[in-house]
Amino acid sequence: MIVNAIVNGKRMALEGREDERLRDVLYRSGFNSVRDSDDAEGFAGSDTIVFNNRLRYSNLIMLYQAEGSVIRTPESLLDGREINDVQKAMVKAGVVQSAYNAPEAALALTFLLENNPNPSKDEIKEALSGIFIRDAGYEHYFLAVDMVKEMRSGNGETTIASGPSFRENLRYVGKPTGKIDGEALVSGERLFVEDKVQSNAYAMHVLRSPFAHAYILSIDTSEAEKMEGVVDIITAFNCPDIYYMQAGQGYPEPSPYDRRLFNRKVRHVGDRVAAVIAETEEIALKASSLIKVEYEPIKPVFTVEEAMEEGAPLVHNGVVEYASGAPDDLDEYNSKADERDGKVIYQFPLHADIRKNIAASAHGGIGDIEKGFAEADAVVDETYQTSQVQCTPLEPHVCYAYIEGGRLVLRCSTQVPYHVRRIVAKVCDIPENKVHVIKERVGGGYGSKQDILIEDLVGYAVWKTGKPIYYRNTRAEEFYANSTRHPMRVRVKMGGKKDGTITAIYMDVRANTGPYGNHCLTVPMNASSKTLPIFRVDNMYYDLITYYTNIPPTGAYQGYGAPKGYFGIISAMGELAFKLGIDPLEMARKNIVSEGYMLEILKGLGEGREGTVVPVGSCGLREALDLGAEMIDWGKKEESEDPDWKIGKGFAMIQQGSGLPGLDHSNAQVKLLTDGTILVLSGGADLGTGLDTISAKIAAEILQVPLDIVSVVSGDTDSCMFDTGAYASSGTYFSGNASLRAAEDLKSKMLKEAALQMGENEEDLVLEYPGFVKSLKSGKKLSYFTLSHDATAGDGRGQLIGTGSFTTPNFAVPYGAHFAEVAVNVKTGEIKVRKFYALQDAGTPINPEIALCQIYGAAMKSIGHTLYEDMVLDKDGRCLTTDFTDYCVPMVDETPDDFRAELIDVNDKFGPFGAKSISEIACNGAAPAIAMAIADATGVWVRSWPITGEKILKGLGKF
Amino acid sequence: MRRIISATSAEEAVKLRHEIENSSYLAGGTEVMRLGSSIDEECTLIDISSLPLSGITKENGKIRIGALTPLEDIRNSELVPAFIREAASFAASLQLRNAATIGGNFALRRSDSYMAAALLASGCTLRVMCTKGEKEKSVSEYFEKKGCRALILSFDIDESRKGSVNRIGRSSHSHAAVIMAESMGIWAYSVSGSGIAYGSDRNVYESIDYHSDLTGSAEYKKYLASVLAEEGSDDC
Repeated sequence: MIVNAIVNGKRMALEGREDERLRDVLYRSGFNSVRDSDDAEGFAGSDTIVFNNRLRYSNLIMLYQAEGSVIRTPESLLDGREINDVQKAMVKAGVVQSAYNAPEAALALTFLLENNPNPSKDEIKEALSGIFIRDAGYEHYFLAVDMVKEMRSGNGETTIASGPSFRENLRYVGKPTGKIDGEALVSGERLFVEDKVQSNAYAMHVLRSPFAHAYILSIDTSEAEKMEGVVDIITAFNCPDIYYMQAGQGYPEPSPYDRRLFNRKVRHVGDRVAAVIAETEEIALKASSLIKVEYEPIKPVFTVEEAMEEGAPLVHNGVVEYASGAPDDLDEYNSKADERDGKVIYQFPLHADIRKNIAASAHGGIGDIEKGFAEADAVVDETYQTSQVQCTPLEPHVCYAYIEGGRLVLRCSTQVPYHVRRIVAKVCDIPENKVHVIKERVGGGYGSKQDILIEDLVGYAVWKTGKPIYYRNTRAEEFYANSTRHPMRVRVKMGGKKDGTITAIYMDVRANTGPYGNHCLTVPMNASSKTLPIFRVDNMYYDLITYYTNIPPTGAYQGYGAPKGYFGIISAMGELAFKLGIDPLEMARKNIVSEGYMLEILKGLGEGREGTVVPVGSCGLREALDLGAEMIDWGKKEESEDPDWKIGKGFAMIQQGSGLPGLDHSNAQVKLLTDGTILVLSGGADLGTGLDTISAKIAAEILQVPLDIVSVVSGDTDSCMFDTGAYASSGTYFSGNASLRAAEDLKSKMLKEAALQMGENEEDLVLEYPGFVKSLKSGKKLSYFTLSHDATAGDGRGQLIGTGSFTTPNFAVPYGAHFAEVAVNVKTGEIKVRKFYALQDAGTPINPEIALCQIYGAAMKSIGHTLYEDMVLDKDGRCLTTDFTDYCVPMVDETPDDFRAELIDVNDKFGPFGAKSISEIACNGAAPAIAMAIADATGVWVRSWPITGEKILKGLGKF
Repeated sequence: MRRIISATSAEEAVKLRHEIENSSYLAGGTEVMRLGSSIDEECTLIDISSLPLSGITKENGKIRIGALTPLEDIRNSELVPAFIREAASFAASLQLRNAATIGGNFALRRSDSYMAAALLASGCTLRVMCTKGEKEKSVSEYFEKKGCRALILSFDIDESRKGSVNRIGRSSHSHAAVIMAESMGIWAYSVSGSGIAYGSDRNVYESIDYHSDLTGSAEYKKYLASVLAEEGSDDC
C-alpha cells in the first residue's frame, strides 16, 4: 500500500505492506538513521521518531497507521550537511561513541528543548527514558543539554568544558576536541554495515539446536532444497572438515580449535545445525522449517560443579591434536575418543583434559602460601559467583559479504579485521590475499565483536555459492548464540594481621567456558593476572581451571576475567577487614603496590607463555584512593531519615592492562598528501572509542598541523597494515604508538626532503604549526604543500610516507579506585546507588571527554552486571532472557544519583604522549564496591551476581 | 499479512470482535506490535485507534479517562488522582507511555500490568460497549470476566479518590515483581507470573498462587506483598 505522510516537513508516499513496521519502511525510504536494536521489543530506542508530535518507537507502528501523519526522523535535524546545536553539543560532550542510536538521542533532546527550553535533570531523564545507552553512560547527555541552553541564550557558543585538559605544551592531545567522526555519526550517515547492503543481497537463516547436548544422527534437507529461491544449505555433512577457533586472538591462539562451521554434535541450545541461503529471509525461514533433523540427545552439564563431577557427560570427547607440545601419551589419550565429537586441536598446551571437561588450566604463585596463612591473625575463605552476562551492543552481529574481482569481500562490524581475514581464509581454505575485510563503523562491541561469530559462516557461504549475503543476528541470537561473559566461581582465601597487613592470598578460579573454548585460558587468567599484581603481598597462589559445559557460548567481554576476579578478591579483602575490625580502606592502602615494585607474580600469568616480571610503572592508585575517600567522605556513617533505608559505603581499587606486551602488534602509515594534508592509515579498529581521533591527534601533534587536515582510514585490511585488533585495552597504547611512530617516520622523511628542497642542513630544520618546515638557521619556511608537491612532481623523489610498527615488552598499566554509596531498604530489599565515583589513572587521556564517557559507560555496564543483568536458563539449557526487558539492562533511571568520573593525572613512560588505556578497567570496580557498601549498610555480604533485593532479604532472614 | 479492520464506531468494533473468533482490539499497538506479542499473526486486528475515546475530563465529581488515553497523558494530568498517575509512570519508557493506552493495559490483565492494581483499588467504574449497547460496570465486574469482548470506553474515577501505589522490580524497565495499590479500604496486588488479587482485606494477597519467575522466587514475592500490605495506609 502507499501511505501519504509528511516526513521531515515534506509530503511523501511511503510504500510497503499494510502491516509492515514503519521503521522498516522509513529505513527503506532513505531515512537510514532510524535503526533497530531490539527486534521491535520497544526498548532500546534506536527506532525512535517523532510521530504526530510525540516520541514513539517506529517499530511499534504499522505502515497504514501512518496515513496522514506527521513524522520527524533524526534526518530532520540537519541543515544541509550541518548538524544542529544539540548534535554539536553531544559531539563536544563526548557521548557520540559507537553511536548506533545517537541520532535518536539527539532527536529526543531536540524535541524536549523545543517544548521545554530549560529542562531539569529529571525532565532530561524522561526524554532519554526510552533510549538505551550502553557505551557512554548518560551523564554527559545532561552536560550536552546544559551546553545547548548556553548556546541558545548567547551567541551560539558554549563555554562549558566537556572535560579537563592535560599537557599545556600540546595542542590536541589531552584536550577535549570532540571525535573526528562525531558529526558523521550523530547525523546518522550511512556508516554501518547494514547501510552498505545492495538490493541483490541474499539472506541466510541459521537453523539452531533445540537441545543443549546431542549428536546429530541425520539431516534431511531434501524438502527445503526443493523450495524455489533456496540457493544452498550447509550442514555438518557438507561443510569443510576444518577445525578453527572463533576467538579473535593473536595467532597462535591460546584457545583450542574445537569446532568446525557445523559439528555433528550440538553443544548448546542455539548451536548451529544448518544454514539456509535463499533469495529472501522469508524463503530461508520457511526452508529452514522444512529441514528434518534426527538428534540423539545426551545429558547436558551446565555448571562447573556438574562438569567436574566424576563420570560427568563430556562436552568434547573427540580426538586431541597439538600443533606443538604434544604429550607422549597422546595416542593412548585418543584411544578413548568418540569420532562423532570431532577434534580439539591445541596450538600449544593449555593444560586441558577434555575427558574431564577441562578446557584449560594454569597454576602458580609466589612465596609460601601456608606460611602466610599461619602468620595471619584472621583468615577468610569465601566463594564468589559471577553470572552469565551479555555485552548487548546496540548493533547486533552483522555481516555483508560478496565476491568482487575474484576476491571475498566482507563488510564487518568487528574489533579484529585482521583476525577475521585470517580465520575466514582458513575456513574457506583460501589464502589471505583472496580476502578483503572492511571494518565499518561498529555499533558497539565490548568484546563480543572480538570473536568471529558470524563472519566465518557468511564468508564461507558467499565463497561457496558466489552470492552476496547479508546476515544479522536477532537480538535473541545475541543472547544464546553469541558470546557472553564466562560465569566464574572465584574462591578467595585471604589472611591478614591486626595491623592490616595481608599475609597471603589464594585464588581458586573455576570458569565456565560453555560449549567451546573461546578465550578459555585468557579470560580466567585475567581474574588473577589483573588482580593479584595490585597487591604488595609476598605469598600469593592461584589455581585456574576452565570447564566445558552446555550453556550458551562465552568469550571476550570488556574487562575479560578481571571484573570477576575483583569481585572476589576485593570482597574478600573487605570481609577480612570487617573480621579484623579494621577499615578496609586502610587495609588497601597498606597493601597496594606503588611505582617500582617488582611484580614477581606475573611470571606465571603470561597467557599460555611464560610471563614477564616487570616493575610497576606509572601508578596513580594511591591518589585515586585518597581522592575517592575525600569525595565520598569515607568513614562518615550516613543515616537516612527513613529507618528502613540503611546506607553504606564501599570501594575497590582496580587495574587492567594496555594491550598485551609481547603478544600484540600494531602498524600504521602516515601519508603526506599532495596538497600537504595528512592521511593516517591505521590498522587499529575504532569501535566508537575514539581511536581514529587518537591517531589523528598524535599525527597532528608530531607533524604540527591543524587537526582538521588529518584524516584517518582504519581497519581496512587492504588499505591498512596489520594490527592485532582492538581488544585487551590495546587501542591507545599499541595502535596509538604505531601511529606515533609512523608520524615520526614521516616527520623524519619530511625533514630530509625539505633539507634537499631548501638547500639547508636537516638538523637546522623543524616542523612548525600550521604546516611549515622552518629553518632555524636562515628563518626560511617551506609549506607542506610545496614540500609534497615538489616531492611528487615529475622530477620528485616520491611521495612522503611514514611507517610505524609497535611491539613492546613494556607495560602501561592503568590504575584506579571506584567508590560507591548505596542505600538499601531492609524491608523491601530495594537498592539505590546514591553515589558512584570512578577515579582513574589513564596516563595522559588523549581524548579526555571521551575517556570520561567511557568510564561512565563501563561503570554503568558494571553496575548493570552487579545489580540487574542475568542470563537465566531453564533446566534444559534454554535461555529465558532473550530480550532487554527480561535480561534487565540498566537505563537512565538506574544511573547513580551522584555519578562522577575523575581522571588522575599521571604521565606514563611508555604510552603515546604518556597515555594508557581507559575503558576496560572501569568494568572492574562496581561489583566489589557495591557489595562492600551493601555489607556496610546491612551486614549482609552477597557473594553472587546479580546482587538482588531478594538475596539481601534472604541474608537478613526476612523469609 | 495480517487482517486489519478499522472500526468506525465502538458498536462496530464490538460487533466485529464477536463475529470474528480470533480477533483482538488494536489500540496503542504496544502489545500487538511488540516482540513476543501474545497476539498471534493469524489474529484479526480490529483497529479502534481512531475512535474518539482519548482524553481526560472532569464531570460531576468524576474524572473520566478515555480508554485510548495514552499513559503519558495520564501521568501528566492534574485531574487524575496521584496514585493513578504514579501507576502510569511505571511504564518507564516515554516512547511506550506515548503509545500504550490505559484501556489496552488494563484489558490485558497481565500479572505485571502497570495499571491493574491501581485501577482495581480505585473502585472506578468502566463504561463499556457490549453487543447490547453501552453499559456501566464496576472495575471488578469487568476484570473478573476474563473472556469479555466488550470494549472499554472509559474509566470513571472519583476526583477525590486518594490512594497509594507501590512497585517493586529489579529495575525501572524490568517486569515488576509486585505492585500493590490501596485506596480507601480496597487493596490490590499484581504479582508477576502469579496473579492479581484485590478486595477490602489487606491480606488478600495471601489468596494468590505464587510462582517463581524471572522477577524472583515465589517466597520472595509473597514476602514483598506482605511488606507492602503493611506499608499501605488504611486510614480512609
